Amino acid sequence: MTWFWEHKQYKAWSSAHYSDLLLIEGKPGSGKSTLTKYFMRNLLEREPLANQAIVASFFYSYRDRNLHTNHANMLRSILYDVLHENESFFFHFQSLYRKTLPRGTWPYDSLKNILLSFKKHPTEERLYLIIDAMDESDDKDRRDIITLLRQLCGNEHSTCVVKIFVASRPITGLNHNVAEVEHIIKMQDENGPDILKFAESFLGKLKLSTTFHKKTKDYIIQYAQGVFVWVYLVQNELLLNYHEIGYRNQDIYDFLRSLPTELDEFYERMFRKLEENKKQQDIQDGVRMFQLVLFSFRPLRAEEIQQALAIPDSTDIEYSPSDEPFENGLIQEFPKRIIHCGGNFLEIKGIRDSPRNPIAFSGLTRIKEMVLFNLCIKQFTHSFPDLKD
Amino acid sequence: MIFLGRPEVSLNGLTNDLTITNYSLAPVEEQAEKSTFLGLLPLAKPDTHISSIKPDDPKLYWIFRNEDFIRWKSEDYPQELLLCGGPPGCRMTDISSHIANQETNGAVFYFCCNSVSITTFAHSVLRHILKVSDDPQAKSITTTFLSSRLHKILKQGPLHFHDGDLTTIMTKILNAWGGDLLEALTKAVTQIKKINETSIIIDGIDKLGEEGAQFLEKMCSQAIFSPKFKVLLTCQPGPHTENLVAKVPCIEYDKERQGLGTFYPPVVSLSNQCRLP
Repeated sequence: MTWFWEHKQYKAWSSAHYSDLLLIEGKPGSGKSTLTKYFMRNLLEREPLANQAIVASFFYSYRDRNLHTNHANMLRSILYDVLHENESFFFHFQSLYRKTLPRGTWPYDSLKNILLSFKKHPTEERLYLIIDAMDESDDKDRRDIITLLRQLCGNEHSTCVVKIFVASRPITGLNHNVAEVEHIIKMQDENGPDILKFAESFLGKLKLSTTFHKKTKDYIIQYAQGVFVWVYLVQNELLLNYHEIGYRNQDIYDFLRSLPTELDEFYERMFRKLEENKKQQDIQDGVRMFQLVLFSFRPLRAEEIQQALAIPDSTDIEYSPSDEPFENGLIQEFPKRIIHCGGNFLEIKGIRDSPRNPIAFSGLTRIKEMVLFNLCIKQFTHSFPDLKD
Repeated sequence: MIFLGRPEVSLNGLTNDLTITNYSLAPVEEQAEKSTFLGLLPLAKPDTHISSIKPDDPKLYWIFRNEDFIRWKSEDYPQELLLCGGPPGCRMTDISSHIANQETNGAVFYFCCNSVSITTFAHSVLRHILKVSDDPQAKSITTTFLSSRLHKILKQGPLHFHDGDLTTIMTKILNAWGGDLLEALTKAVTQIKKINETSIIIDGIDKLGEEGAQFLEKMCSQAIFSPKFKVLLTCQPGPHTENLVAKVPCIEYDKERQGLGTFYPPVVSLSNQCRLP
């Protein structure tokens, strides 16, 4: 991703002596979040001006429901980052803080005003606001937030320079504002070389003939359309099915052509394959895991799901006044069970597989909707088997 | 019977139960004349500390852009008290000195408690109070102060003086432990009914002990008797100043900012660090 630092849009955005907005736009799976993380990780090393700067970030996400989609939470989070890093900004907050102290709530408009007041910060400061996955934010007020960010860039003479980095897929409602954004980097226009490099790396493991190597590579590049995740999934399928077994070049190419070219379809295929070669108990556990993760009010801890699965899922069962059936029903090596039954769709958050860490659904929002839909169908057919057809 | 000063100044009932009755302060009242008394008060060496701070330094926004300080400075609020505190290293002496140098409100009293005795402080603050009082009030304050001191001295034991030895009495009264002087001052300032415009800036009031805190509390309560009366005190948080902190607006270095953390939701940032309060 080193291309990013040399991109003319980045250079223009970064070198301007005034506040400015850079939009990273791309399809789902095109690497926006990866680029955002890469930018954050390397900013201090690559950008001398950032060494003394304040860096505040927020990652919109559907995963934790309202917590990560809400614009007020986004504002609170980045304002907190700013205040945490630089105490001299406190006076922008003080008045509101005292008003809200008894209630403990932060009015959305007041948060906006605090952020806007940074334009009038009396001393020179450089501030990076890094916001990822704007498309996963609440539809309500999204345009308002974009307008706010643009207002923050509106004063060329402000001593406080705010560099705003926003990553988003193209979404309705943002387009009007995007037209006014001067610096836009479209991921699908830029990540071709990275995708090519990645494809070359795993195609090399298959040891195809020169002709098929080229054909396969061209096919992947053609249908990737800038979506890195699709190439990653293709890699998994090819290596899983053909690496370390005998095969024909044509088989691999045909198999590749049989794979879905759209990401949604690819995930759906993966979801359906969860049931393949699985015992009935695996399928039942998988379905219950998805239900618990997707329908719970808050993220559930691994140990909570482990215990929930130890309780029989049947209304007909007779319970005895003993812990023994429950203890016997507890799944051992539970993290392994999550992977086995939930595939790559469920993940334990956090660095270690601690039973106290929450389990979250991993995947794009539309995939989550698709899984929910399939679960509902499965539940419906389970409850009303006669109506299955 | 003990004779104090001239024979007609008599004190009865002193020895056993420490009850003092029937004594006259005629000789000391003469000393209570403002100019005479000021002449007897030891003069403290003026503070020559020159502050090197710049109020536009972002590290000092915690005080100079604090809304309590802005209110304290404002002409719209003529009677304001403010207590500022922080750990060692937050440059309170520099800050208070700078504020005193910038202050233009009437007679400005600045005192740094860090390097001088409480006795010197008591002398200085009494001198300032008399300076901003008219003659009758100054006499009233002085009389109360002296009688309070005398009362305390006599409680400690009989005094023997030669006839007319008032200077010795005054020396005994004024060159005492600072805590005793502040105790007498606390009573004396109740005589304040009207004082001229003044700003009182005292750095390091935690060095003044319990008596100092009580005096300042009483002194601050007299602010209503002045058309413009601004008091700014600095201290390190401690047991002596707890009462004062509870009653006076207080800026404590970084305390409010630290408190802000509790209002933020547990949000996971890009770096995947949990920000639970």
